[in-house]
Amino acid sequence: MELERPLPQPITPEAKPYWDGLREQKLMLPRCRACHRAFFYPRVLCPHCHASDIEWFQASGRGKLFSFEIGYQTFNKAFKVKPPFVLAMIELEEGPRMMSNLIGIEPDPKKIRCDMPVEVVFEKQTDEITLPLFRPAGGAR
Amino acid sequence: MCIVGVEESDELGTLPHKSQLTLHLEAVRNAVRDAGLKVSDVDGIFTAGQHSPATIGEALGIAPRYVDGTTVGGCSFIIMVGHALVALHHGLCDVAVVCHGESGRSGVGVTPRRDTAIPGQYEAPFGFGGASTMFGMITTRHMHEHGTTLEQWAQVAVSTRQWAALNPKAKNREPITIADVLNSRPVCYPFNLLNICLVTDAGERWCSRAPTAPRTARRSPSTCAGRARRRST
Repeated sequence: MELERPLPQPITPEAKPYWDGLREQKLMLPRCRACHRAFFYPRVLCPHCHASDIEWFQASGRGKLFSFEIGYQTFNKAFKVKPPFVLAMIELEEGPRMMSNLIGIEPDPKKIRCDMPVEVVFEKQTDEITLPLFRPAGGAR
Repeated sequence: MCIVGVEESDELGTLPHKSQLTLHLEAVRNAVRDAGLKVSDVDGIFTAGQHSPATIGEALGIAPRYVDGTTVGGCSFIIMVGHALVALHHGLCDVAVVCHGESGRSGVGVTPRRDTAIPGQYEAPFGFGGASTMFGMITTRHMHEHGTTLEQWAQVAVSTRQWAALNPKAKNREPITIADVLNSRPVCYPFNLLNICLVTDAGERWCSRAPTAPRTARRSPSTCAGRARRRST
C-alpha cells in the first residue's frame, strides 16, 4: 500500500516514548521534573529551565487551534493527501504547541477560526507509525 | 559603519548554467568592484545558507579575520548588517562582506537538505514544506490577534514589486496591484502566488567599512543609522 504521507525514517531516540504512545493511541508528552512544564517537541534538555530530568505523561488530547494555513497544492512530493488540506498549529491544553492537520472541517478560511477548540484523533500509517491529527472538539464546526 | 558597495551576480532569474557557488562569487566580485576595492581587501565574511563563511573564504582564496554564519532564515542577512556594524566598530575586521548565493530555481550545485530530526518527525508528515508553509502560520495568527487584513499583506508584495521595477536585472518588473495579488492563484492561505517570494537563481552582496576608512567606492557611501531586532516564541 503506497503511503500517503512521508514518515520519519528513523525516529530519534529521545522521541521514542512519543512515537510508542501514538502507536497505542495515546498522546504522550515530555515534562520537566524540575520546573514541571511540559514541552514539545521531545528533547533531552528542558527548553524552559534547561534541566535534564524529563518524564513522560499522557496528555488529554485537547487543545485549541493556535493558527492555521490552507494548502492548495503539494509542498512536499512525498505528501500525497489531496489538496486542499489544513495545516495546523495546535496549542495543547497542557501548554506545548505542535504541528498537525485539522480534519473533519471544510478547508475554508471563513469556517476555521484561530483558538477554536480541537481534540486529537490517531491515524495509523504503518505498524510502526501512527500520527496525531486534530478535529474540531465536541462536534464543533 | 558605511555600506560602500552593493551588487548582484552578473545575471538573475533562471540560470541552469550557473552553480550556486558561482552566483555567490560573482556577487562578491561585483560588490567589491563597486566599492572600489579588491577581493584581497576583504577580511570579514558574513553569510548563511549552504555555503559557510569558511567555504566562501576558501573559494575566494582569502583567510578572513572575522566570520559570521548566523543562519536564522531569510532575515539572516539583514541581521548580519548589525553584526558587521559591531565587528567594524571594534576593529575586528576592516572590510566586511555580507553575501548570499542561491540556485533556488535551477538547483545547480545544491546539496539536498536531509534534516530528518525535526521536520521529518514533526512537520513533513503533515504536509509542511518550504517557506510558504512556514510564514503563513505567523500571518494567520497576526490577523487574528492584531486585525491585519489580507489587503494589508498584499500591499507588501505591491511595494516590493515597485522596488524590482527599478532594477534592470530583476525577473519580474511589471507593476501589480492589491487586487492582482488577491486574485492570483491561492497557494497556501493566507498567501496567493503573488504574495510569495519568487524562486530564482541569484547572488547578492554588500560591502561595508568604517566611516573613517578612505573613500574608494564609485558611489556615495550609505551610513547605517541604526538597527533593531525582535524575536518571539
